[in-house]
Amino acid sequence: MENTEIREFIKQSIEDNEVMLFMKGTPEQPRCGFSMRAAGALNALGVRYAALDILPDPRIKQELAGLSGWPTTPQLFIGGELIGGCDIVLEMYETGELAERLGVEMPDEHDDEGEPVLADSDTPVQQGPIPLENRLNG
Amino acid sequence: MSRRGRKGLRCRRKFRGLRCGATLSAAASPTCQPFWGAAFPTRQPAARRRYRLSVPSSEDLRQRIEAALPGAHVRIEDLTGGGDHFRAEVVSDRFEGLSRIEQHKLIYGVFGDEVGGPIHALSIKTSTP
Repeated sequence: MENTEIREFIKQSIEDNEVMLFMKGTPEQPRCGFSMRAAGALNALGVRYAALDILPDPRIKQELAGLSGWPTTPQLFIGGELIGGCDIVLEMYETGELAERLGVEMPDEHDDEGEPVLADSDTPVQQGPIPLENRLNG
Repeated sequence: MSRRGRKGLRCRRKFRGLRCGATLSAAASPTCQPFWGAAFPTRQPAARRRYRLSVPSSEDLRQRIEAALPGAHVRIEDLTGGGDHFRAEVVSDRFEGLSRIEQHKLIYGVFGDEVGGPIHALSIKTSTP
């Protein structure tokens, strides 16, 4: 797969998915604490989002950084627009801006320890552009 | 049905009030990386000494940000002591009127390719005076 194809694929996935998260690992098995927290914020809000693991090929990270002008991962896009990395996503989660942006309610349900309860969904992740790594071999 | 009764357990590790939430199946649990353990491994002093000469220091980062944004108040924290995971808190009037993205890009821009290279992670908090 050429670099330009990877870039096109990334561009397409940002356009096609209302909420698109580029991360290290997957939401189920994050491979980096920062990615885990960004995915955790989305999980806590219970929104559906597409996630792409950037680790299978170093060129994914390269092309993504070139495309977005953002050097680190994770990166969250909403409606085709770069929202930010872990710090911004968490900051927006805490202030309620992220919920507002996504048009969902802040989780106000708390469990016995006073922590927000996760949305009642086992797989908030839609199967979007994840199979990129499979195509890289083709 | 109670949350705990659902299939599998959720990881309860949390950071700033956020639960990790990864499903802890037998297969997944060994790879569930704790927030602090994995992202910010504690390093032994011996390892720190070995790497100190070749890595950027908190002081370097502070000076470079202050040079790029004159008048800014900068606080840098080396999250691991290893010289590669930093947190920068920057207060500058240059951020006035900029979106968060633009503010963070200003800081990333100071270090160019070093972010993602020698500086593995740079967590940023920006504000105006």
